[in-house]
Amino acid sequence: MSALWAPITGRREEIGTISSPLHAVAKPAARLARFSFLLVLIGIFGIGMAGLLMLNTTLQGQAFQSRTLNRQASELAYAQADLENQLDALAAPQELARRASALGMRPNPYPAFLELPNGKVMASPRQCRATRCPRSLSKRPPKSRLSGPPNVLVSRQGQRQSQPS
Amino acid sequence: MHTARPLRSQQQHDRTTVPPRPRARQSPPVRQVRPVQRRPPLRLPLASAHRRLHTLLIIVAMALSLCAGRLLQLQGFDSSSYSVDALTRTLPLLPARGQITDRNGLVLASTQPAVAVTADPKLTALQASAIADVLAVHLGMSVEELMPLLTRTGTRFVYIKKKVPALTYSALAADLSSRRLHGIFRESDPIRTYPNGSVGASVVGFVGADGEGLAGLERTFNAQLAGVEGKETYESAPNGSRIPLGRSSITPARNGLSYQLTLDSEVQWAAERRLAEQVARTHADSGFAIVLDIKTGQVIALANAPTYDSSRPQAANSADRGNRAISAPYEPGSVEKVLTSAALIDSGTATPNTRVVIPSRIASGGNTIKDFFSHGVLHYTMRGVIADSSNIGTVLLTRQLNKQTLHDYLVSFGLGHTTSIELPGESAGIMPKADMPDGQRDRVAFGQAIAVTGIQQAAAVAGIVNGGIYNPPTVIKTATDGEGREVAVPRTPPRRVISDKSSAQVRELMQAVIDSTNGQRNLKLDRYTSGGKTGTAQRADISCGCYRGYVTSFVGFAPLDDPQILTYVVISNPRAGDTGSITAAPAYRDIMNMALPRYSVAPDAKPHKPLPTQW
Repeated sequence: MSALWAPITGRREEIGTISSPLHAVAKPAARLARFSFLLVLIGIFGIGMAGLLMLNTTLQGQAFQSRTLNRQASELAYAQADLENQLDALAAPQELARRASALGMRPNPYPAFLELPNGKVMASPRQCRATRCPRSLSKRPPKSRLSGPPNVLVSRQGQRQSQPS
Repeated sequence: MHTARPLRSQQQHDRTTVPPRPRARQSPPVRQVRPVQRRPPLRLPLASAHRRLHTLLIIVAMALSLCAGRLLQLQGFDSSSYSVDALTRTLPLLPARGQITDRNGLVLASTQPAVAVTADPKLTALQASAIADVLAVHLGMSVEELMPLLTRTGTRFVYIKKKVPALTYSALAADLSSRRLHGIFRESDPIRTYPNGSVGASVVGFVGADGEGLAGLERTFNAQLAGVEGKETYESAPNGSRIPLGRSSITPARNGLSYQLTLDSEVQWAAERRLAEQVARTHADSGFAIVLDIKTGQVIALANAPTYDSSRPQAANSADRGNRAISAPYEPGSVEKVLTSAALIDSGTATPNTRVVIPSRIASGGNTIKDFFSHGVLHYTMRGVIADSSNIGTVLLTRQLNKQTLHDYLVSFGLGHTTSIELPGESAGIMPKADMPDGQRDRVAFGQAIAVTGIQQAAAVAGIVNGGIYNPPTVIKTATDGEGREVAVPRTPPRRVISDKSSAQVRELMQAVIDSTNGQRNLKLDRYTSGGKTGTAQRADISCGCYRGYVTSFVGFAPLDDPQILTYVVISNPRAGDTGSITAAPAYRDIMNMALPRYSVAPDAKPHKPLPTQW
């Protein structure tokens, strides 16, 4: 075995040229072993996919949330429209007259007038009593037929009706 | 001694190498391969790098060819079902119909969100009774009505109920989904609501089942109220569901214009009630009342009796679903004397003090003209002629005026053509030509043989007393678009019809009517100076082609010196009472007493000495 390492006699000059390039080289940079490299690749890939998945899920989730909120907004708009409708119906003049009459109020066409900005009062108000006040408007009796049709001559098909005041 | 280990040969370079045999001293080492007595192992020739590569490439090629085949199938054969057109759905975005409000902002017409409830019988037939129970509670229908609809065969679409408020449907849908019942759907079907009911109905009008205006302002401004539809396009999966993050584009709908009217709901209601009471009390066919703001020509109230409820127009007679004040011409009778006097005074033919000798009757065009009160020979001034409403006196005065001049004055007052008020179905009336026969001219002077509409007459009188400036009547105050910006409304400019001085003199004549005995008893307003004119005209009856019955009316304005509000009440064919003072004036008084304080007109009644009516 040691013969392998023994210098070959008779060829010293060639050996010198052959053996001199041999020198210790620096330690190469550490590289991942094959298995670890694969693990790192899989790891990066997995993290990337997971991140993408989370992003997508969040976006879709927000889209669903926005759809739910939209639906809620519609519901509230419907409720608002319904309430506004009820309010408008209650503000109608025949409704106000009915409820005012039920409270015993009567329309009085004889007010006093206040002139602004000097504060002068013109005309004297006249209290409206049932006998003395001219019948300015037909009045609904205090105990009214409440959700009845308005006291206007509304013709029915083929026949005319008038409702007493 | 050098004993070299035997070098392994290439063929033996694997794990199944025979371990080196221990050396034997006796004999020199001999290389020997002992044959193994067992089956040869399976060998995958992947030791060769070439073969590994080839195998991998073949697998990849197979996968790619599968992809190519699928590509060909998608793009080539089934391309139409996956095309962008098929998968991009378009939804129309429905615009909201504009609102109509009165001059104070009270809502006269608005839209309530509502749906038409529909069902797919194929899906509902399985659980029809359970679904019917839920629907019956929310929709107020009976189970007997619902079952046939839910189990109908041969169709996949059936209407359950239309015009269901959206709030009701939300509750219904929540109820159905909590019980896991499927097959009920909806489509948009908004309800047009009229919170004021029949107040102002003849002006506002109504819509049909499809939401198109059929009468009144709903019809005139149908296109502007309706708005413009929008569009939403989005990507969907083949089963129709929407892809939340897919490409979508929206063109928003443009909501319709909203109109604010000049009508005052309270005065309108008062006018309608009072008018209805008079029509009922006098057993008349119909009537109308118009309240005008003299300074601007705005219509404060336009009442008809009988009328209808805008939310239930089908409950009324079809003849009552129009607007008689606009569309039904009639012979105006003595109220026309106001117009004739204005023509006489402004043309310089007569003054309120002009003296007239009035016989008991007068011949005209082959007939005789009488007054409604029998008398001998009277000595009246023009003031007296108007105050006591003498037909003969008016004829005598008008005969001094050129026919062409009279005709031109009447046309300038607005007779014979529409007033361009924003309501549909307006009639132009019937105005005789300038070369009318003398007999007709005589009768036109006191309001027969000419046909006018209520709004024409009211606007004409308002123009005459307004210092001679005629304001075209209008019901629209402002218009705003869907975003709340104001939109210009086309307006006709006012015009002068007589001079200021003539207007003052005509007002003096109308004051004389109030100063007369009848006026003081029936026509006077307690706290205001006012002027007016009664009217009783013979009514033309189409069924007999003759005159039968009367059309009684009264027009009045207040205050006298600076007129603010005019009211014109007409009762058609009253059977109890035949004068304007008895039939129409009571409604006029109550309406004026209510409207004048409301518009801050201060009372100005003062005692004054009436000017002479006789000589």
